[in-house]
Amino acid sequence: MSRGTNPVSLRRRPSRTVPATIAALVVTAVGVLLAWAGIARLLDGRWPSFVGWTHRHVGDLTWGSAAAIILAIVLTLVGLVLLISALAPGQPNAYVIDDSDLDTGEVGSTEFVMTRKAVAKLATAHAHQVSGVDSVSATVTGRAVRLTVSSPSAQREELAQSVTTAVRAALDAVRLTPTPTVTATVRTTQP
Amino acid sequence: MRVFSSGLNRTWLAIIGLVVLLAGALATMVATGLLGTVLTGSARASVPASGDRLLEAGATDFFANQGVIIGTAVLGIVLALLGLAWLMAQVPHTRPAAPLRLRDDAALGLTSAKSDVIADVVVADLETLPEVTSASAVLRGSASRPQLTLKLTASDHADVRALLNAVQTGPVARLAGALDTTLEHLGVQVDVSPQRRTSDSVTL
Repeated sequence: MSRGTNPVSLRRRPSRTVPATIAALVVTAVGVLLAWAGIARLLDGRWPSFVGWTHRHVGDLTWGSAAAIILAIVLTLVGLVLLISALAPGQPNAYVIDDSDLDTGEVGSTEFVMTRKAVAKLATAHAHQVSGVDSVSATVTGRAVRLTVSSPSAQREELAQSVTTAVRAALDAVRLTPTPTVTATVRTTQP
Repeated sequence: MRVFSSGLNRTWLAIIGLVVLLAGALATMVATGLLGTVLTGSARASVPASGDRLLEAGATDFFANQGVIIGTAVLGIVLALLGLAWLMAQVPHTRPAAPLRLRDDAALGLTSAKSDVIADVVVADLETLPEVTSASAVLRGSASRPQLTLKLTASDHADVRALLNAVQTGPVARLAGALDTTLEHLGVQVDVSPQRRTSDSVTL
């Protein structure tokens, strides 16, 4: 096969685009400044002015000064943040749809997924169908669906139970893996 | 549907993070005097004292060396190129298949088809299914081992499992028939679009 030997997985962990973009910009900027400084020194015989500025403001600091200690601690914290952003697994973007009873005759392998955003839309739509529900918002994590329902009804517990049952039935029908837990919180609004 | 540079990002963030963390921790130990109390003998003597400057006087002579200046410029160019390559890798890409060689016969000639044209046909086929509101497709791999990735948007009250079955027995089976092979891989991402509700709708 010329390209795409490994299928592209639709269920993935966060790609760390924001910290990677910031780090790549910093690496590029440091590279440009070093190249500029080195080339300018070779051509003009003297370092550019920003090298002198750095020498005066950073190089002349003493190791025991408060500024040097703060600088070292900031460097440690930046390293820690980068390391955590690389190693923290993060939540997967989607649930897998169980395909064990689906017809896969013309296909070698399959991967069916529903994104967390889509699960939230599905849960919201089915919660909306429950009598007494005014408005719904859903938060979906890798293993749970949390619904916040606004209703003029004072029967909060009954309504929360009805919403949970309706949404759980809708999600069970799709057969998501892992099966998310469904919880609902009802807030009473003025009729 | 699209490919992200997740592995590359995690690897480089971990490497840079570890280097910066170790450098920062070492600098903190030197600056607070902790390193001097931990080390003994000749190693202790090489630790800068709290009154020493970060860049010693000899640093100026060191950076006047022609080799160091060239090294600085080369290091800068390498870092800038690596940084730019990493930045460009952040742009997600679909990585579709090259034109599929459907038939390559000395007597009958070569028949090839662009993968995006075949994907468009699959999308048109998918959008004829009543519960699909929109669809997109990417065909990867080769003519003999095609991999199809679909994104389907269905209405929020659609029967998702019935829809997935319909997709496989309909458009996917027809694609496999047209390519005269079985698909190596099928990926489907199901999205949901809210059904249009009107103010006079009634929920019982």
